[in-house]
Amino acid sequence: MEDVLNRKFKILPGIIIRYEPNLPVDECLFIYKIEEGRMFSGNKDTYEIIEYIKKGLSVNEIIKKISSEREIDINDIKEEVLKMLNFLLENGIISEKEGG
Amino acid sequence: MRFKLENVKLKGAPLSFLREEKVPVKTLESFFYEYFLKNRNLESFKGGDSLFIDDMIGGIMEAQKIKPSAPLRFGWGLLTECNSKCIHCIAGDALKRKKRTNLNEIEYILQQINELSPITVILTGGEPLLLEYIYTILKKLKENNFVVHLLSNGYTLTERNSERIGDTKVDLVQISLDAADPIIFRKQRGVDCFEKVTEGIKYLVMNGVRVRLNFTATHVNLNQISFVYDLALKIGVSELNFNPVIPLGKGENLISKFDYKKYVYEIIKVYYKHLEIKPSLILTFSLPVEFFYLIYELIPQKDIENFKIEPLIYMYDENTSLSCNEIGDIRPGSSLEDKDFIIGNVYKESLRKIWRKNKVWFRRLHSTKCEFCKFLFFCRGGNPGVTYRIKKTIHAPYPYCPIKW
Repeated sequence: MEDVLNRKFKILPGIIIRYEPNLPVDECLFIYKIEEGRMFSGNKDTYEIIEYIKKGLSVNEIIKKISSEREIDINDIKEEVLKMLNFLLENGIISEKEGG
Repeated sequence: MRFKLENVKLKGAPLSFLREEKVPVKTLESFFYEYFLKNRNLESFKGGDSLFIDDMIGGIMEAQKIKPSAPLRFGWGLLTECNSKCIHCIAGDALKRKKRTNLNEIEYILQQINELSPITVILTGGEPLLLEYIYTILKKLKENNFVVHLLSNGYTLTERNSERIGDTKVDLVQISLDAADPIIFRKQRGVDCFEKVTEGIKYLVMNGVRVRLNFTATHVNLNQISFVYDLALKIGVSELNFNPVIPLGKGENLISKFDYKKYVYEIIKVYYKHLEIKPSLILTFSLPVEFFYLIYELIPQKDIENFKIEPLIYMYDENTSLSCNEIGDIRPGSSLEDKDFIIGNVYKESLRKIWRKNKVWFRRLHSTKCEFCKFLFFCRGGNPGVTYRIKKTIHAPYPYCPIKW
């Protein structure tokens, strides 16, 4: 588990990420894979994770950051964050950083 | 707390309210109508350079009558120098400035583009391949994951620099090619380098570059449309786009000589052939309002209601893109060339700040001949830059509109 928590990720090339906070809907995050023409839509919380990935935070740091900012117990969000990271990995949106 | 991310099923054009019903194919025009049912706006067939995400976000913004958090496209005019003397050039007085963006300015603007985060960056000029730093710019933009397009006349393409362009992983290079005949090419472009350009295009294709040929139709080259289509197939480019001459700059003097109806029929001929051959080439074109005369009678009565719109036009280009010229002046969209539309200068304030203060642009065509015009859905009032140049307002009908009510 310790191993997983220390992992860092990067956004893969050919991925377009767009966040449109002014939209009057919950799903205002758009992720597009140019080569496959695949589109994903998501919400603000998911965008936060993406931003932390871009900043180079490890899984552990992402969980801690979200927990402290939202005042939520780490154990209550850990599984959800891991699930989301797994989704991003499986769908070729992010990959593990070498030496991360 | 709820994380959410899911696949979006792509169903063709987003927010399309048009039913995908087949129209019996009786005439060549009906091919167009069928095509139109699958496209948001017939004025410019999308599909080539348009990513789905552009259309989707732009479509949502238009429906909500707001602008996106950052432009979808950023056009960057790097210099005003050009090695061409096109009879249809729209650049006008800008060419007299003879200014190149220098290395310090380039680094600064690249940083500004990163902060702004558009999806696509379009590099233009003048002729951008005359700028020695062009390869650095392409490379840096690609490193930062932008979709990058380069628009060139192709005169300086060689085996060596085509390879360098290929190495940058640029997404698309558009080359102007207005004829398949060296003499007509010279008449239109004012220089004698048809062979050099076509060779250059071949080198680009050989180096794995996605190439789009762009054809500007004037009275000089109307009969070249089908020949250029054949040449595009022969060379193996990815895309081919046809436009009629725009009445701006030198183009203004050519309008009276241009036969729009003939242009439409030449395009129809090529499109018919395209449907027969079904090549991998992506064919796109802009159509003048004359075309809509031709197809209007083909539109089933039940669909006519779909083509009625309010004369308050959301200016899609101005609300979703920014352009920067070689002296850092910023304008919304790509057609409002007049200095009255400068909304900031990148050397005085950040691109993000300029974008934030860019208003949501609308054309108000109430109490004009457009108000009840049944073709307004298709033309959306025509090119606003041309209208402003002649009428000094964008809230007026297109001055070259042939429709009289």
